[in-house]
Amino acid sequence: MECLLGVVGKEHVILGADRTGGRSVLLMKSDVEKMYQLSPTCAMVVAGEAGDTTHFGEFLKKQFKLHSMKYEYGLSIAEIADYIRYQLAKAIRSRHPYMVNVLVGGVNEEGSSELYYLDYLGTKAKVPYGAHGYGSYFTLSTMDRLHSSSQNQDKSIEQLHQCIREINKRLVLNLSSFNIYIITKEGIRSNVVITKDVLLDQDPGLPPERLTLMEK
Amino acid sequence: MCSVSQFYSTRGIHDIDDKYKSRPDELEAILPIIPTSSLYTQPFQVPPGHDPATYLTQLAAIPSENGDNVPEIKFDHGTTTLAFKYKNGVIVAVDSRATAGAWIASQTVKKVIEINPYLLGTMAGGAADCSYWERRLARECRLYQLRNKERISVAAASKVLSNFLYYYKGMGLSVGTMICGWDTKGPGLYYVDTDGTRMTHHVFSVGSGSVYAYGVLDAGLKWDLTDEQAYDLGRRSIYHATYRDAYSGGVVNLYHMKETGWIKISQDNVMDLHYKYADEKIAQ
Amino acid sequence: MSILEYNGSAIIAMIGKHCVAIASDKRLGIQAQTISTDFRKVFEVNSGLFLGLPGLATDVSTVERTLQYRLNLLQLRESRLLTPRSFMYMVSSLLYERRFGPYFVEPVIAGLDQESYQPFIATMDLIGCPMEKNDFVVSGTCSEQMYGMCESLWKPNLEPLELFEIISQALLNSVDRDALSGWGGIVHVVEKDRVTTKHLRARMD
Repeated sequence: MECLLGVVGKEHVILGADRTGGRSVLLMKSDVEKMYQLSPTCAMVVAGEAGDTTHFGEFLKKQFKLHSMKYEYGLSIAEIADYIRYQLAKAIRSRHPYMVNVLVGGVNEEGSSELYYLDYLGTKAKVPYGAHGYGSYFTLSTMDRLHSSSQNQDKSIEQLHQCIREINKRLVLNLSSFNIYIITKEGIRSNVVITKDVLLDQDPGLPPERLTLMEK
Repeated sequence: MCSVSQFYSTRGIHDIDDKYKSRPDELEAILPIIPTSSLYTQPFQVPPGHDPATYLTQLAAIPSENGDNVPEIKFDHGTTTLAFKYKNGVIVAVDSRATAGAWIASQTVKKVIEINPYLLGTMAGGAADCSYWERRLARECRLYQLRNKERISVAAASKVLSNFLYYYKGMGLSVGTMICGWDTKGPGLYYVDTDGTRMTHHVFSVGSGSVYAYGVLDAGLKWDLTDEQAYDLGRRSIYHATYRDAYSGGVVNLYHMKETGWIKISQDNVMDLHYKYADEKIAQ
Repeated sequence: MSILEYNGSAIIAMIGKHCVAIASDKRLGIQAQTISTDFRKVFEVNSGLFLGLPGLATDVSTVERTLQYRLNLLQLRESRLLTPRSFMYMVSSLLYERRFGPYFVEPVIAGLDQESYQPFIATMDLIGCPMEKNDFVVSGTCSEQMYGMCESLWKPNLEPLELFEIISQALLNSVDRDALSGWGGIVHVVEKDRVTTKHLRARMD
């Protein structure tokens, strides 16, 4: 039901998460924060079973905070992702698995940017762009078409916007409001993206006579 | 049992029977062409037992949420097909993979069925179901033309198919097709499936890879595309679906429906397309 | 659908004349959806000793990490390199530890013995029943196809270049008939004094 997005570009990573929070058919909240900052230049977005998401997110946030207090050295994005994978893999064979899917992204000290796709089983893959949830069906092909690993921030943001528009156009579920997080070596900025209803009937693919009919 | 009038009795071409009633001599002339023992009156051999659906359940059953077993025969389901209208007609593009589970049974399936020079049907779902029912549709369209001295409209043709499929609803047929054509109203595009859904729109994509195809298709679709742009959009959309969807692949078959009937534009191996597009991306 | 087929994979190992080769596909999928086409499932655990792990991706990572950790510790403690056969038993023991809740991987081991330079290949099931062979071993979602290709292409005493060609053809043609594996391939050929790694250009559908 939820949707997470992530893109890597030149010296930056952008994560996106929808803002819905609900139970079964009910929408209870529409400004949910699904991002957890794990270091000054690394964050993860989490979606999955209610309760598991927040507990898992906060647990990891505190683990990395503790690490930073105990040791003078920081962790690379790869190390952070590895640790999260280890926790998920450990949990899946326990009595209480974390039913959460995660995207971890960040910028290393030397400037390289990385994104990791993790699912509740503990599957981990380093990817140039990734998505979780039903939204992934509509966005992965869009990214395949447009993405290049050396693209600048504006291009990444525009791509993410296009993905969100496509999700709103084709997904039956209402995921019109997204948070996006821009991670650079300066830190993390966040933005809200709200898409207006994208009616299929206002499609530029329609013949002009039908478009004008709609406007009347 | 279904008779010919049952298939024709719904909106679209409902006036046919009435027309014959008013002209009995013409009806008699037509009647011998349709043998009473043909498929019209004895549609299909059904398995023993009074309720085919119940019997099929024992043979090929998958448990559903409410505890009943829904009859479902597993054929190839993986496919990507798409069709869209633009100023110069309708573009139809499909992949060519047939799978049985993870096994790739064929990479060279023809998923565009050439019903007649002005009608194309696409294939998604059960291959046998699609090809049989679209063959039946081809016969009905030909008969219509002989009776009425004019070509059947896309709306009517798709309705005939929809009625066929709806009659067998719940018996395990699996068809998701787009009927594309050109008639007096111009280009026509209808989506028809075994639920009995029938709808028209300017763009459709059907099959397991359709979600990926939509992503690329929606971004590039405009009414006033040139022919080359439209062909490229159709091809690319199918290619991107084959890349992400395990059950789509093979070659991209591309058709263009024009006022003068359909023409086949191209057949491209997805592997060649992949490396061509990859080179183009690097060149940018 | 078996959980071993959840992510999709194909791995082959073959013996040649004083050499071995191991090849794998590169796909990581979640059933029908391809997530990555650059996923590693063959690992060089020692110089000239390779471990291929087809199966559930989470266990691929877990088993690889655990084995590498144990192998490194053992080699440090004993100041010697493990032979491929000993490593095979180490893998087997790890898998059997989870006899009643197995790791969903069916490993392939390929390597040259560091002293005798004897080629060695082996495979095992997901609870660690080892099987040494002197021709070829296959494991993954398209094992039938791979058996067919290997049975028809493999012959004794292949030179390294021939071995590379044959293992590549066997892999590529097998995954082309499997919906869940493919999307590129990687081949390692191990000889006495070197390891050659090549990436294969493959169908991407």
